[in-house]
Amino acid sequence: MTKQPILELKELNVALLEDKIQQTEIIKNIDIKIPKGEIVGIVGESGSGKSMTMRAIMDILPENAQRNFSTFTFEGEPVSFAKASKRLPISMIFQDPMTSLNPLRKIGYHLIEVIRRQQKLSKKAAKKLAIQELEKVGLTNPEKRMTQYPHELSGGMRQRVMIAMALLVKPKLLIADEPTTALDVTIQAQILTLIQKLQKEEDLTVVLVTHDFGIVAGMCQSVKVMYQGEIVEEGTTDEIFYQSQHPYTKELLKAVPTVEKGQRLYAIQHQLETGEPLTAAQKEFRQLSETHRVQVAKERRA
Amino acid sequence: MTTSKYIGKRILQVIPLLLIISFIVFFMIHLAPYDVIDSITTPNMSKETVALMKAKYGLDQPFIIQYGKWLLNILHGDFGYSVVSQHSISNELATRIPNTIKLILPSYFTALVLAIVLGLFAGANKGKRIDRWIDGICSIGISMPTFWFAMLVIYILGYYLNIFPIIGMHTIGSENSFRDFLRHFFMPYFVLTVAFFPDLTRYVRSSTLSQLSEDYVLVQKSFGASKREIFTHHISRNVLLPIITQIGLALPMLVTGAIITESIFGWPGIGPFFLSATKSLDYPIIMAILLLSATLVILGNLLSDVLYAIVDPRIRKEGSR
Amino acid sequence: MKKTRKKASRILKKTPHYWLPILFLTFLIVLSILAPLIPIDPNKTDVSHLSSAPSLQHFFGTDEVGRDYFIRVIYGGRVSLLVGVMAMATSTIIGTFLGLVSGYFGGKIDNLLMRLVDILSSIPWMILIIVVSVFLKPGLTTIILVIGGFSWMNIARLIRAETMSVKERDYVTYATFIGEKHRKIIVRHILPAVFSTLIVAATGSISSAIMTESSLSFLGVGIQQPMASWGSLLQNAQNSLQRAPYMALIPGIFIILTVYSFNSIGNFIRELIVTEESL
Repeated sequence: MTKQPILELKELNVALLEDKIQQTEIIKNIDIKIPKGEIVGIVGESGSGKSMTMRAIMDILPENAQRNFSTFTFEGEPVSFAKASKRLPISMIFQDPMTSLNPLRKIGYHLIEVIRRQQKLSKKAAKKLAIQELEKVGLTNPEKRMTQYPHELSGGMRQRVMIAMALLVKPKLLIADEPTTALDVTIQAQILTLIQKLQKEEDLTVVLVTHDFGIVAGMCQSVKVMYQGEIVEEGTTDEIFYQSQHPYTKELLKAVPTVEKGQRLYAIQHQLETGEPLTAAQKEFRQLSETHRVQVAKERRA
Repeated sequence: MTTSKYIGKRILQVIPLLLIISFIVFFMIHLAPYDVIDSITTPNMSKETVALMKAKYGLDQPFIIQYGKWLLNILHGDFGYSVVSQHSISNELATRIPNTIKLILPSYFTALVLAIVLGLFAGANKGKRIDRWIDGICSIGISMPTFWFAMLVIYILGYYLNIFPIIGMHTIGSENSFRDFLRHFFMPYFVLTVAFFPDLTRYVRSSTLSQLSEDYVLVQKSFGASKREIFTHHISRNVLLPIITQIGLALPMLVTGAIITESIFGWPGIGPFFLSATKSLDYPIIMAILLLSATLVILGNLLSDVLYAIVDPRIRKEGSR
Repeated sequence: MKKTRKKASRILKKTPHYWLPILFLTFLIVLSILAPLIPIDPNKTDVSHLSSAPSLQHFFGTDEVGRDYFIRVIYGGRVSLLVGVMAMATSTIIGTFLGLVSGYFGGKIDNLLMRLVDILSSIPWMILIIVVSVFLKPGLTTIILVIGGFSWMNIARLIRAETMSVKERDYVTYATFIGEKHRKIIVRHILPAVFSTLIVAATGSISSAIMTESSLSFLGVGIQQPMASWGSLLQNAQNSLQRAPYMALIPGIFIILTVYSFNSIGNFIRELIVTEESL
């Protein structure tokens, strides 16, 4: 491995406490390594734990969630979530730009609040900075946008505002959690292009959470496939697309809508193999190349 | 421009509603098994006297004419005269409503402030001990009859500790003493505050909780906003704005919010006036108060809608489209 | 059914404080039903004990004419509970019927009924009910009808809204399409779907009916002598508040506990239904 990873997290577990008695494990002992300067795709169907993994990194899990991990390093430095510790330069944009902004606060308020939390700036200077940022994410007429309420903007515009907000905290890592799912198809492409452009200009690392392999193919250098709270396969985009090993990855790839006529959409079958699901002790990773590894059942040694 | 158009439209909707209500009420009273004449005549009066009395009050005329006359007078600001005491109802209302307002306004305001503080606090500490306490107190408060609590307060503060006078608004002879007024004021004020705050607190608490579950709170957290910042900059504002609409809905309480409490404490407001009128079937008074309170409910709803339209930018924008 | 029972016991395990209202209400209902078996005569006066404080001989003391207050409170509870349940039944039946009709048929009927709801809701209930109860001969039936007859508006609104959304579901559209009769569609398809809303609203309306009854009886326009409810006991207690404060204290505590219990059980049922639907 030549590149130092920007973020490395080992043995992450997250469980939701349903009530005093029951708890559900939603992230099961996963290791995550994000290489610096790449766009990394995280793929999986809804409920596979993609968003929860991201929320665990951002320290914004729901209150009834319990998280533990063995090591967490950011740019080589160990991270702790103790109260007084410094915030990591990570920011996150969310799925639904319609609800991500406080409907009773103006766009300008949101941006200026973010700026002034980090930097000691006068309101005027912060406002100037905010307008520049809005310009950078391609919003027309930024002065006017500052005085508008979120509902006065379209979904695509709001997502641009969210991206501007995210960039204002000067992140090194940007997590985009299904940033285009709630948008129209034409707007989707614009937002994705914007993310790609900003990634190059700002020297960002981007984690792109999606359930759409089409997006991954177009944007990402490497891919992690999540299934039921685990990473079942990871590798470069090419490795995953052309040499996928895990049955779930194959199923996912088959489910990618193709334009060919007469072909039925492929529904993912949840039972991968007949029989019982494997327990953690029965699974292990097989390293296929420097970057490509896949979860397999442990071979029984007699 | 369009907001005023909207208000105008709402007012036009209100007028037929009021007419129907007044008609129904008039009709109901007309159907009563005995009428006002029974309460002012005695069995030993001659038939002619009774007929004369009926004619004097217009009770011999057809229903619809009685109603029309009465309505016309109302439009001139004249609620007519009590058939029992012969006093002008408008005058009576003019002295009694301010007394009721003197009681309700401070209590409601206190309860509201208390509710905002407790509700936000409970919402911020959801599921913790303090939240459970606040919620528990509200549950008991909601289950408690106000008049029972009034009796308890009267017994403890009035009889047992003998701190406050138990009846009226002034001691006879010291009508201008503010201190004397306050001494009379405290107990009913306290009782009403306790009566009002549980519902309001619950309202604030539940809207705090629903705001907390909004996506923007998660987004703010991800941007490193502290809980305190999220509460002061975002949630409290979003919770408090809708409360303004509650004030509109509380408008009718200025007249009828304390009927029982007022009569327990002998407070010279609308309460005792209304209750004694219902006992003697003094229909002009019942009609006046009924109509007044219904009008206030309808105007209160109107006010609430209008305030909401002014306060919430989402609606404000739609209104001007 | 079995599933529901399982869920109920799970909720009870999670939040054991629900036991309190369940036990209290069971106790109260049993006591009310068995009241005639208690060997104390509610009308027998004990001249040697007028307005005497609670003692071993008279658990809750005696009233101003020497009647045993414990049995008076129990009999009062019978009346209060009866009014609560019957008024709930009345308002639920009216509200459900009108809500279903309004939501299902829509159009003119809906418009008319909803204006009626608007009109009735714009008179403060306190005023409305006092006025109505004044014109009818006071008594048990009257108070049940008055409370039930003027508190159905919320239930009607809820059921209407629910009906309107259920009406759009596929199976209802299908039933209409194959030409089922309206009555059959309402009874077979819509009513079951709105049932849970109905139960939650109905439980809540018992406690508000008990509260309303006690206020009206306290004002003297509700239950009349010689019958007594908790409210009329309190009205009576007001006159001897200084001499016998326990006469005011005891029925009030019973009202609070009862209303609180019905409210909690309403929450319990809501929780039961909500978790049921989400699973």
